This record gives sequence, C-alpha cells and structure tokens, in this order.
Amino acid sequence: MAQRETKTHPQAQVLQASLHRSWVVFIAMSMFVVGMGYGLYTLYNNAPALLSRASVAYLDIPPMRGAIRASDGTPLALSTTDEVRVHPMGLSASQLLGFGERANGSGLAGLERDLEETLKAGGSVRLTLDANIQALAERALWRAMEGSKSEWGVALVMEAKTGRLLAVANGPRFDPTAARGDISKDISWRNHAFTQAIEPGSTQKSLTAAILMEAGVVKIESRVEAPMFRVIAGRTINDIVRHPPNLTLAEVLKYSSNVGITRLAERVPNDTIYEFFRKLHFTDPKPMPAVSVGAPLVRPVKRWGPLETANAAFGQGFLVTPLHMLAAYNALANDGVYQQPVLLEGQVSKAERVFRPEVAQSVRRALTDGVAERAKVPGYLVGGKTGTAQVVVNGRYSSEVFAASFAGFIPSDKPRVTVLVTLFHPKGGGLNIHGSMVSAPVFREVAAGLFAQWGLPPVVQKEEKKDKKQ
Amino acid sequence: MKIVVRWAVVYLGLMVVLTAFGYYNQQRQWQLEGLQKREAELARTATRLTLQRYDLLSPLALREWAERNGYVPMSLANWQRTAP
Repeated sequence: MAQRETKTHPQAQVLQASLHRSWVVFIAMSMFVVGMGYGLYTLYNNAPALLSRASVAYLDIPPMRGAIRASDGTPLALSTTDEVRVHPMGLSASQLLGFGERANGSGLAGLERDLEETLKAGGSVRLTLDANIQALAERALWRAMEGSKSEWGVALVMEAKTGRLLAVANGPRFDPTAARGDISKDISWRNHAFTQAIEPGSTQKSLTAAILMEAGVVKIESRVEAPMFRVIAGRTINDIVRHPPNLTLAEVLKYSSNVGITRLAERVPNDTIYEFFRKLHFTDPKPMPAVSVGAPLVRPVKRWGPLETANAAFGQGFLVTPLHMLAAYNALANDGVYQQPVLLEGQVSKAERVFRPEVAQSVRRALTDGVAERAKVPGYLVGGKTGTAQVVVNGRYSSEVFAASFAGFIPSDKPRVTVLVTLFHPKGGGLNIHGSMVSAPVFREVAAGLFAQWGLPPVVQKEEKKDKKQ
Repeated sequence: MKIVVRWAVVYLGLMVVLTAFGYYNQQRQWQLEGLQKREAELARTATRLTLQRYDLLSPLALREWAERNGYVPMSLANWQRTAP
C-alpha cells in the first residue's frame, strides 16, 4: 500500500497525465498539419488564377494546326478551336490541299501531308494560288468534264516570268468534308496535276520544234515532205488532219503532222533530244521544291531506236505529269527561259535558259497563227497547241482511251501566263475526244476570264490589220 | 483544457480561412468555366459565319451567281458599236 502511495505521488500523477496528453496533442497537431497541408496543396493546384499562367498549365497542349492560304490571304484550310479542319473555299483546290485524319488533322494526302511538319507545329503557309483564277479554271474545267464525261481532268495556270502557280484545278469535284469511300475506286481526291504521269501527245510537237530550231537544224519556215502516213521500224505513223504533202515547220504544228515532225526530228541525234528533255526537267522527279510530284518515266537514251525517237517527237513513249509539261511550255512563254514551278510564297524559282528568245518567239507566233478555232478569243492574241495522246490500256494503245490536251499562252505576244488543260478519257463520241474539241474551250474560257480580270479590252484593229497582211 | 481550447480556436480560425479561400476559388472557377463556355460559343459562331461568308462570297460562288444572272466576262462582251 505504501509502495502504491509512493507511486501515485501528486507530482508523478501530473507528469503522467502530461505525458498522456502530449501524445494526444501530438497526434491532433499532426493531423491538423497534414489536413491543412493537403487543403493548401489542393487549393494551390486548382486555383483558377493559376490556369491562366500558360507556362504552367498549357505546356503540353499542342499548338493549333497552321492554316493554308491563297496568295491574297484567302483561307483555303484552317483549324479552329471547335473544328479540326475547315475549308472556307469549299471544293476549290481541295485535291491540291488534300486531307488529314478526322480526329487530329494529321496530313494524309496533298499539301496537308507534304507540309505536315510546318502545319503541325502551328505554322501557316501561303500559296501562290490566286483564288479568283483558281475558281475560273475550276469552273471551266468542271463544265467541260461534265460535257465530255471525262474520267479526270486538270487545268493549270502558271505565271510566265516567275514560275508561280496561279491555279491548280482538278476534276471531278472533291468534297474534303464528305465521308470517304474506297480511295482506290473513287479518284476524285487525287491531285492528278502533280501525281499522274501521262504521255503528253501532240502538245510535245511545239517543244520538239523549239529543240530542232535551237539545235540549228531547221527554221520555222523550213519545209519537209509529209505524206499522210509513214512506216518506221515496222509501225505505221498516221496523220489525222488532212494537209498538203509539203509543209513548213509552222504548218507541221498547225496540222499537227506526226509524219512531218518525225521526219524533221531525224535531223538531230537522239542525245540532243534527250539533253533538251533533261533541260526541260522531263527526267526530274522533283521539279518543284517542298511539294510531292509524280516521277516522270523517260526511257534512257541508249535504248532509243528510230521508233522511240519518232514517238518522243510527237509526245508518245514517255510519261510526264501535267505539271512537268506546263513548266516546259512555260519556257516557250518566257522567251526560252525555264522557270522552276513554285507553289509556296517566298520560294525563289530557279531560272535556266533552254532556248534562244527568237526560237521561243517563232514557235509562239506559229502557235498563234495555227491556234485551234475553239481556243480563240476574238480581239485577243492567244496561242497554243492541241494534243490527243493515245493511252496504254492492258499493255496496248487503246483505240478508245485518249488524253485530250491543250497547252497555250495568254496573251501569246507577251505571255503573262501559261495554261495547260488535260481531259483524260473524254467520252463525247466522234470528234469530241480531241484536245481541239474538248480541252481548247477550257483554255478559251480561262483566257476570257483572265482578260476580264486584267481589265484588257479587245484589240479589234490590230486583228484586222493582221488579217490584211495575211 | 485551456490548451485544447486554444488549439481548437486556432484550428477553427484556420479552417475558416481555408474555407473562405476555397469558396473564393470556387467562385473564380465557375466564372472561368462560364467565360470558357462563352468563348467556345463565340468560336463556333465565328467559324459558322466565316464558312457562311465564303459560301456566299467565294470566287467560285460569285462565278456561279454571275452565270445564273447572265453576266459574261468583259472580254466576251459585244464591243462593236453600231451607228445610230
């Protein structure tokens, strides 16, 4: 009992109570500190004011996809906060622009794919396209395609002096916002102007004429015996348009004589023709910077025989994209200087002389005098060459499938632009498969629209004087 | 006991401050959400109006309209004047 009293001494009791209480206080304070700390931590991290500090909260949010604009700033494709990709111009230039993933806009085709790195990083690009000329070319092309029931078609407009592409029209129409079908069957999404290499056909004859004149073997008034057909290496080459048996080079172009141009082309070695093909970038798989273009297909010159030379002279036996052909034709418009085509503003077009100015001017004059009726715009000087290329189907030239083209200059005395129109597999029946019938009207409509846009009135007197001279 | 009471007062005081801070934050949060909602609505309206504008005024639409109403390019107009 005495021991118990000793143990329960008042001071000891106070000490014991204090010790017990200190544990309670310690636990309470710990809980308090933890609770308060958690509360402050939560508040700090959820404070709305902090969300506005971009450097803290939005670091990992990718930038909005950059826009694609026409040269005047007209938006062609852009992203907004609520839409992955919108196309304010609707169907205009839609094949050129291409398309991307529905979810994030990541490029799958066209410029959306080619310029993915820039657009993804939020950078916008400005194209050289003129929204008005683009619409003009598309309207004319789509109307002609409907009339001729063509499988596909392109209309390209290039500024002669600078190589800037002002219009890249493709048909049939493509709606980038519509549900996508089987892309192997539905070809409307394809930018045939850049990706589809085809045999150019008779439009090539103008370039062959320039090559021969530049090589010094002929002049524009040089004559050649040109019967309606000839046989080369066991193959018969025919002329389609009836013509006199003896033609000048200018008349060879006017009547689009296969026989005439092949006979003249034999005056230069194959190497010379091939060297000009190289200078005109017909062997160049990348004729334009930053944008994908279909590779041309030209047989190596060491494998050229008489038939290959003849074919090359009138645009068969090798494949180039419409863009390649347009840029080559532009060398004639630009007084013999080849301008590298460019599509993005700020890019500098490289220039390279291919023909002497007088050669280019002579060919242009011949193409102006012999221009197809359906390409003419009364009161204005326009020139160009038609082409109706045969197309290989299942390993043989088809008697039904053709590529009808027209390549020309607007105006043709001092060209401001070069235009190429191609309609693939027109089914108009009769003569309505020829470039002069189906493609020339598209050129005419583009020319008429451009003259109106430039505010140039027709020069009736000049034409009358010219008629008197003739 | 006094110590407990004092700590309780401190605790309650701090809880009041914490609650006030939390309430203030909530208010700001609701305000921000409202503004973000409004911003999204305005962005949608801007997109719709942009598309509507170009749908009516794009070069392609203008050409179609001009053709429907019988306008022709100046270059294809009849420039010849007949004497009165």
